[in-house]
Amino acid sequence: MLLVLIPIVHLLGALLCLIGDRAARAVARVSWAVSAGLVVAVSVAVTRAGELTVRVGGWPTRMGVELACDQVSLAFLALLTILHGSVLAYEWGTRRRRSFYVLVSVLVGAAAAFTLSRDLFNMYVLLELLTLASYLLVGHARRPEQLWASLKYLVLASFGMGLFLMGAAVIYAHLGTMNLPAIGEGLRAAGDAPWVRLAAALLVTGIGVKSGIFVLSLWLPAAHAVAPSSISALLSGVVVKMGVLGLLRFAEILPVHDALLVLGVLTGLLGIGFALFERDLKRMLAYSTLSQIGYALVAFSVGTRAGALAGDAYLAAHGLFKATLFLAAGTAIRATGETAVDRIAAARQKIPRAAGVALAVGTLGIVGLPPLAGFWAKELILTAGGGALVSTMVVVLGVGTAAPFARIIPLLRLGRAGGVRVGERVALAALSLGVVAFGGSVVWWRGGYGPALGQLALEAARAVAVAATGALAYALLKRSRVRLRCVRFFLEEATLIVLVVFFVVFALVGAD
Amino acid sequence: MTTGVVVAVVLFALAALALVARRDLVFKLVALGMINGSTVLLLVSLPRSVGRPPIAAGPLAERLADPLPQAFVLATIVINFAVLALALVFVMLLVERYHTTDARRIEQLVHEEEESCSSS
Repeated sequence: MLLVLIPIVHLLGALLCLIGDRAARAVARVSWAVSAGLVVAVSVAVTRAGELTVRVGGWPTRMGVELACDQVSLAFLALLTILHGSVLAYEWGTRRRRSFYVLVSVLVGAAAAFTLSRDLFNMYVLLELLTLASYLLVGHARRPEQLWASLKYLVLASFGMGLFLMGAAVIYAHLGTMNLPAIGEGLRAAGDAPWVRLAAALLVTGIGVKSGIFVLSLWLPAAHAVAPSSISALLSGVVVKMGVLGLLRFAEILPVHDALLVLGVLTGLLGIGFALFERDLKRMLAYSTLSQIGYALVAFSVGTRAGALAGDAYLAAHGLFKATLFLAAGTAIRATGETAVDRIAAARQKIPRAAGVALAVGTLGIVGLPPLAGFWAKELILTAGGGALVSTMVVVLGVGTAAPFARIIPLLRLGRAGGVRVGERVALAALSLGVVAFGGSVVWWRGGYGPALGQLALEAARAVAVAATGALAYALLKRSRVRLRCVRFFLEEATLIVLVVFFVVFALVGAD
Repeated sequence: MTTGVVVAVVLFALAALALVARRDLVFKLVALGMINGSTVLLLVSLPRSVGRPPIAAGPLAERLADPLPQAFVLATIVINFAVLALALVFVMLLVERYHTTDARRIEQLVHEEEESCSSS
C-alpha cells in the first residue's frame, strides 16, 4: 500500500500545483515532505522484510501490474527524494511559474513509479511520461536551441520506444505476460531461441536511447547543457538513471551481459573523449555523465547480484555528485555570466563560496578520492567478482573520468562569501554532505567493510594514483595542443546509429 | 505469422528508413506516426499462442480476443498522440524562428547562433 502511495502523492501534487504560482511552491514542498516520509517508512519495511510487493488492483500476476521494492529500488527512491528536495531548495526564492513545479512533480512521480514497477508495459508508459515531462522542462524557456535539443531528444526517444514496444510485443506473443519475474521464468524455459535474442536486442536498444548509452543518446549533452541547472541535475541524476535501471532489470532476466559490457566500455570511452575536449562547463559535465553510465553498465555485465548492487550504488553516488556539480555550476555560471570553463576561471573571484566548495567536493567525489562517494562506489564494483577485464576497465575509466575534471581545477577556489540564496546554500550543502556521507552508508549497508585496514589503505593509494594519472594525462594533452573540431551530430546520423547499435546488440545477445 | 504481423514489420522498417533518409522534420514526424501505427498493429495482430482470454470462461472464451493487448494499444495510442502533438508544437516554434523544416539546416543555424561551441 505504501508503495502505491509514493507516486500518487507526487501526481496528486502535480494536479494541485495547477492552482496558482504561489500555491504551486507550497504544494511542491508539502508533497516532497509527505513522499520523503513515505520513503522512510518503506525503507524501514524493506530493511525488515527484504522486499515489499504489491499487485495493484489485486489482479492475478499474469495480468496485473506488480510493484516491488527491493534494495535496488530503495537506493533509487532515496536518491530521487534527495535530488528532488535539493532542486526544490535550490529554486527556493526564485520566481518559477507553476508549470515548472507541475512538470517536476510529474517527472519525479513517474520516476518513483518506474523504480518500483515490475511490468514491461507499465515501464513503457512511465518512461514515456518521464520523457514527456523532461521535453517540456528542457524546452521550458522556449529558446531556439532548447527547442531544437528537445525535438531531437523527442524524435530519437520515440523511435527508441517504438523498438521497445516491438520487443515487448514479441515477449507477449510467446509468454503471454508482461510481468517481469514471470517473463524471467518463461525465458529460462525458452533458452536461447531466436525470438529471445530479437526481443532482447529490441528492448535493450530501445531503452538505451533513453539511458545515456553513448552512441544511442547524442541528444543527452545537448539537452543537459541548455536546460536550467536544476533541471540538468534532475535529468542527469534521475531521467538517465531510469533507463539504466531498466537495463539492470533486463540484465537480470535476459542474456545481454556481453552486449552490456561492450556498450558500457564504448559509452565510457567515448564519453571521456568528448568530455576531454569540451570547453562548455555544463556540456562537459553532461559528457562526463556518459562515462559514468559506462561504469554502471560494466558493473551490470558481471551478471551477479553483487554486480547489480555495485552498479546501483555507483548510479546513486553519481546522482549525488553530479547533481552537486550541476547545481554548483549553475550558481557559478549565474554569478560570472559565463558558460565556458576558461572564461568562468578568468572571473573566478566572482564565484560564491558555497558554489566553490560544492564544486570542489563534487569534483573530488567524481574522480574517486578516498573518503568520498566515488571511491566507495568504485570499490564496490571492483569487489563484485568480475574478471580482469572488469577491473581493468574500472581503472581505465577512472583515469579517464579524472582527466576532464583537471580542466576545472582553476575554478576550485574558496571564492567570496555570500552571493547565494539561502535555499541554494542549503541544497549545495546537503548534496555535498551526501557525497561525503555516502561511504558511511555503504559500510552500514554491507554491515561493516570487508577488507582489512591495510588493504583499504592500498586501495586508497591506488585511487589517488588513478586521479593523479588522469590529471597528468590532461596536462600532457594540453601541452600537445591537440585541437578537436566541435563535434556535431545530425539527427539522421543519430537515427542511423540507433539502427546499427540494434544490429550489434542483436549479434552479441546470448553469447554468454 | 499473420498478415498483420508482416505488415507491421514492413511498415516499421519503411518508417525507420524514412527517419534516416528524410531531412524534412514534418516527414520525420510522419515517420514517427508510422512507427507508432506499426507497433499498434503488431500488438493487436499478435498470434494468440499462449493463454486464454482472462475475462471469460466456458465455450465463449475460445472466440474472444485477448483483451490485454487491446488495453496496451489504447494506452499506446494516447501516449503517441501526446508525443506527436508536442513534437508538432516544437516544429512550429522552430519554423517560426528559422523559416525552414530542414533538420540539417536548423542544426547548422542553431550552432551558428551558439558560436561559442569549442571555438573560444
